[in-house]
Amino acid sequence: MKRKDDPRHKKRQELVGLLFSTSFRRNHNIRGTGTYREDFRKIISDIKQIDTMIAKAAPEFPVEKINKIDLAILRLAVYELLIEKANPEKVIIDEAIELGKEFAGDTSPSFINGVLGKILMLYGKRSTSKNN
Amino acid sequence: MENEVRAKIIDLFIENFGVEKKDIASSMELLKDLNLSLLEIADFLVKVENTFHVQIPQSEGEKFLTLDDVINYVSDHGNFT
Repeated sequence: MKRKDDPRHKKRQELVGLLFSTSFRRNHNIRGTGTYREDFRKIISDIKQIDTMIAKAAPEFPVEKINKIDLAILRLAVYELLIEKANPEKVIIDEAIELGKEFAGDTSPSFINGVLGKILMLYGKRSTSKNN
Repeated sequence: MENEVRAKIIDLFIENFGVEKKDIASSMELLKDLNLSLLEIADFLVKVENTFHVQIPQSEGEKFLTLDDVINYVSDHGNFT
């Protein structure tokens, strides 16, 4: 059973908060991002690529129409799955679903699960994964 | 309509941040005067979107400095039917 005070879970919570903060800030000039500044900077630098992948996986929901918390969670998960590739896919998807339960609406976990499943289908499963 | 929007947005702000009406003015800057974090601003703007059935694009949201800016945008773009 995953613990809520797991430092990796806390890190993901922080990063989702930071990504959500940029919902109304196109220039992403977030000051004081603290411990996770570097991770946040990396995600933001790949945000266009990440959003393109999300848009292809959920064509019925244009990115700008996706609930902003769901979008923040998806952006982090897609970054972890396809760019960072530092954790097993199952861990990343489970964490994203958990964050959806914590922060977003009732329908978010299934939406997040569906989009991430589609993304893996479209962009291929990784053959190897490093453990955290 | 703008007065209704103004009253509703200020009420939403008070409810959201637990401040007193006497302590806020719509001309105050969200970051500097009202001392909100970007996370708090984003959370508030999502509530505004949901309340007024309006979508605030990133390109517009980043221009909002004060509550007046939010009120003006919603007055012009909100769905009041």
